[in-house]
Amino acid sequence: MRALGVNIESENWNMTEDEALAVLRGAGFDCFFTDYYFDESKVDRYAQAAARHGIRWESMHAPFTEPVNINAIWRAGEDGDAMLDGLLRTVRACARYGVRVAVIHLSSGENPPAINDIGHRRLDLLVNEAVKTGVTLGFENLRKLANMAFVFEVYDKVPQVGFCWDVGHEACFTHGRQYMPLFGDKLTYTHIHDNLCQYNGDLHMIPFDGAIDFERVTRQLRESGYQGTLTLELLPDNSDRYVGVPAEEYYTRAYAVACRLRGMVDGKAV
Amino acid sequence: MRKLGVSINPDVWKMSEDKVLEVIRQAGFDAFFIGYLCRPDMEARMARCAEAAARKGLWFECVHAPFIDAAGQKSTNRLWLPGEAGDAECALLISCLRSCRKNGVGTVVVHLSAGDDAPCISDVGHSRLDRLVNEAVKENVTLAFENQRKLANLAFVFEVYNDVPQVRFCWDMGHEACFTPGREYMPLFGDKLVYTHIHDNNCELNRDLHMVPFDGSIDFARRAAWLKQFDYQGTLTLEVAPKKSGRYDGWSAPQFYAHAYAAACRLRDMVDGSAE
Repeated sequence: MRALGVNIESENWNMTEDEALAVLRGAGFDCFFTDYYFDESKVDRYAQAAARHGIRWESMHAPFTEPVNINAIWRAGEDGDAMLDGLLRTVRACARYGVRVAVIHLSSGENPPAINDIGHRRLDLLVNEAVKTGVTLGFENLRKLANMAFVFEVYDKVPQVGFCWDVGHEACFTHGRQYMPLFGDKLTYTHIHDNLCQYNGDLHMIPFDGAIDFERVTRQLRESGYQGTLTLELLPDNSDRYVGVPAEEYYTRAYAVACRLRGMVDGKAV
Repeated sequence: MRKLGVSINPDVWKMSEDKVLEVIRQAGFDAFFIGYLCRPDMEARMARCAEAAARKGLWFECVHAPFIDAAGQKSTNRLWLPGEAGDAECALLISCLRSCRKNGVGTVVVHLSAGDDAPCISDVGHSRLDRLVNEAVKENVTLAFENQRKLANLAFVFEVYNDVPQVRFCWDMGHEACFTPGREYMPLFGDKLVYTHIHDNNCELNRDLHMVPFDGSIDFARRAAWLKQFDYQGTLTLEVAPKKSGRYDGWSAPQFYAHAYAAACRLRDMVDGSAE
């Protein structure tokens, strides 16, 4: 049966890494993802906890606000080099701990710098590192189309360059644009969450708590032949819907929804 | 009633511009476009087209910017590569644009790349596009970037020049079907639509046949629905080539353009839902 995953940040629940993963495993999840942490002792604690609880660490979300904003990779200068270093560290950490995918943002906000040679050179270095280590880069959809299309054209023949479909971003950042018809053949990972389909309202709600059409989402997943994990990317503090809900209840609910989605994609009873 | 337009190529018919324009006017077309070729007499040709169009009551609506050099080689990709050849390509596009302004033509259709292995977006290409766009703004001529095989360069121009009214989209329905099957451009760029290249093919990869609509396999009901959804009010322009498919071998120009006009009327009916 297809694996189900979810993100977690232990500090958001005032938990240790071990406690956080115990909650996810207890809820039923097979996999999880976290941010990459520059304090790699935290990365190490997650790795140990994952092994202890028998839950697969499938992805790390590369930084996009530290040490600087991700847009820096498109600008000359030290900030851009520092941002690239953060991305490379993520890939190397993935390799070290057997994490399959590093999810990457290519820009931030409405007016990032345009695609340019310096950004291209930095992406070359990142992709080379991915090829060297065997880690897959999952480039995630945000607001801009050109930079996504750029990486999938430039690195078309590189198996380590894949697409992370963020269902929630598609609905609130670029409503009306559908990414699966464009890049579904590159799909390697999913960030599934809900919102009210209002511009910039990136609420990261549990699916079916918002307004996204998950019939269409699951149909596109099914039609693509995607066999990978269905991964929820949830942020309980981004909306006020889950105020006061304890972690166990929250993730139990999320798991039930993930099972429902799996049934819709795979057409089987859960 | 919405205008109907068509491409003309006097050389294919071995006719003068005046003769071909008379044929399309008799067929019923309101507007036309011509390709800006790398030949010494192109300025004279532009002037003849403008004069004949005015005399015949036809709208010289658009020019297709050059994409083949004087030696018959595809040249668009040079825009993205360093060196004099790319500078020359940019200069040629600017010349074309100025010629349009001089001859009262409001729109230039531009390719951004050629072939599957086109160079990627680059700083040098961006700076050349800046020059071209600046010229378009200065001359108030619209640049209509046309879909080919690549998505990134098209998305790039519409993001970089998002606030420039002279930067717009030419939807090539035939290319969509044979170069990028499964990709639909209108949901992506329909809000930038300013011009259409409507033609048919058998939806086989890379077989860009430029047939008259309804002679091939393209679903024009779906295309008409997109035009309606985005409330496109401009000309429906056919970009049809009689010699590419073999289907029109032996046809005369009047026969071909009458056939094309009937197809254009049918398409207009599908888009506008009005009886002809």
